[in-house]
Amino acid sequence: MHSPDKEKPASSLTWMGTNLFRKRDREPVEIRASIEKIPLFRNLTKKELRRVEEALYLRRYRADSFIFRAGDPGLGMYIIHTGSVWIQKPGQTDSDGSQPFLELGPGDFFGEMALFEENVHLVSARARTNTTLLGFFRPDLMTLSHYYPRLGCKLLLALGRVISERFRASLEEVSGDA
Amino acid sequence: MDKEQRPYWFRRLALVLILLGAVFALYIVRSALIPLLISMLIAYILTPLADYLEHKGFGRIPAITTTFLLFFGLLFLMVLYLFPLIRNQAVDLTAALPRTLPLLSARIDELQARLATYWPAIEQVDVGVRIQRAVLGTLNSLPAYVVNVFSIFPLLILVPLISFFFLKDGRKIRRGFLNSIPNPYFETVMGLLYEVDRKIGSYVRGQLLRSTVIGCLTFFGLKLCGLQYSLLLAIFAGLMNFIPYAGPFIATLPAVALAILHQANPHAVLPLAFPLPLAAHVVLVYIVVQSLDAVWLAPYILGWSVDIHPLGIVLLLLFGNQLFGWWGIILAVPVASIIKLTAQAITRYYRIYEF
Repeated sequence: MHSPDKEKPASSLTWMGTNLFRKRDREPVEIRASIEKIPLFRNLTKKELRRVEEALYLRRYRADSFIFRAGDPGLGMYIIHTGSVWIQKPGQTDSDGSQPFLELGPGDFFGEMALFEENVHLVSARARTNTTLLGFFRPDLMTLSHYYPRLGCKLLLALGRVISERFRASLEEVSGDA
Repeated sequence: MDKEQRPYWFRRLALVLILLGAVFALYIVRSALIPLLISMLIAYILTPLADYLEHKGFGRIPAITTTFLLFFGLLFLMVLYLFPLIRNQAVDLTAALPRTLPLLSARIDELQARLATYWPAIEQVDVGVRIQRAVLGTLNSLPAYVVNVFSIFPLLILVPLISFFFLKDGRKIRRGFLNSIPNPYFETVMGLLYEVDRKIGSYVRGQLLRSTVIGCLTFFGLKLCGLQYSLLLAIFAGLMNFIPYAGPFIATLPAVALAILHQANPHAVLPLAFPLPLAAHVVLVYIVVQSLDAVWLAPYILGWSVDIHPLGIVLLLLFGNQLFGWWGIILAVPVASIIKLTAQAITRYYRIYEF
């Protein structure tokens, strides 16, 4: 991966937090390699993978910017393409010096519960370095499973497996504490 | 981490000014918006079919071309076959009414005289003459209006062209738009777009299906009654159904008036079975059709509620009429629900971020 940390705004003219004169790199990003390795998409055929790829949104985040905050309405999950992300508990800020409770790197994903329930995010996600994410959102999941039920089943099963694994892990953690 | 140091009121003011500017710009180009909106509607109607074909193994372009040719081919055939019929009926009606209208005035005068014995104030108003004048005025402009609707040349070229591109590139336009949204607003805007898309899509498709069904039912009902001009009246009923609340009543009035004035077709079924006045049959047909719609079609097809207070809808219709005429009345409700959903999303967003 190239070093994304050096990106600096050239001008200070900003509108709503975005730099108007920032040069945007528009070369296409190879995302296939990145999503092939994700357990969520492991059982998909080449064709299905292409359909998922078409449904993903590539988003760039500058270091330190929030991807979402606890309490935001959630619409879907994000897969980390490059960079890294902190997952923070609500109320936890960098000023109080406490450790973020999770750090995720390329290939990790988060926010998958928002694909299933129309609810707010329970944690905040924040870019640690300059980060590119692949967003996969509820409307696109619905459309995919509407038109390609087989693909939809595979995706939903894989998502269910991931969620149940994470739930089991947190259950074990809780019972281990007791 | 907001590095932005400008005060909140500055951003807020800027946003409001931009919105106002956008609204004003739209107002200035409002006559150009009509073909755009019609094209969008057509794209909305055709997208599911194109998607279906594409996912059945057609390529995107063949799927769209097939859908497109099918739709405009059908439309062309319909215009080709129905238009002469409609025009004949319209011409007949325009020719017949000046003869029959005095009859209606006479009936109304008679009724007025009878009522005046109970309520003398009624005598002061020339109801009969006024109705006659109003109807004749509308009627004289009717052929011109029909011709106008069907022969607007730019519309005939523009609408197929624009709707084709909406159909072909709708997804790309949407993705491009979403990609240009700054990170903090991205999910909000995407959720909003999805919701608007779903609601407007189902509204448009539902209304169209409803209007078609109502038009057909009315046509067959009036045919059974043996009323002339059934095609004209049925199309009118279908169109009027786009107008909430008032539409069905507006649709019923001319039919009843014509039923009072005209004899039933002697071969019609219904008058033979039930020897009631023609007007009673006609009213019955409209009541049955509207009840079927209310019980059956409306709840089933319009699975979502417009969620605007009835008073609000009435106001919207008035404003829409003032701004855009008939198109304004038809488009008022969907456009207003887009605005409402957007406003809700924005306020939700502000409540979270205190923007």
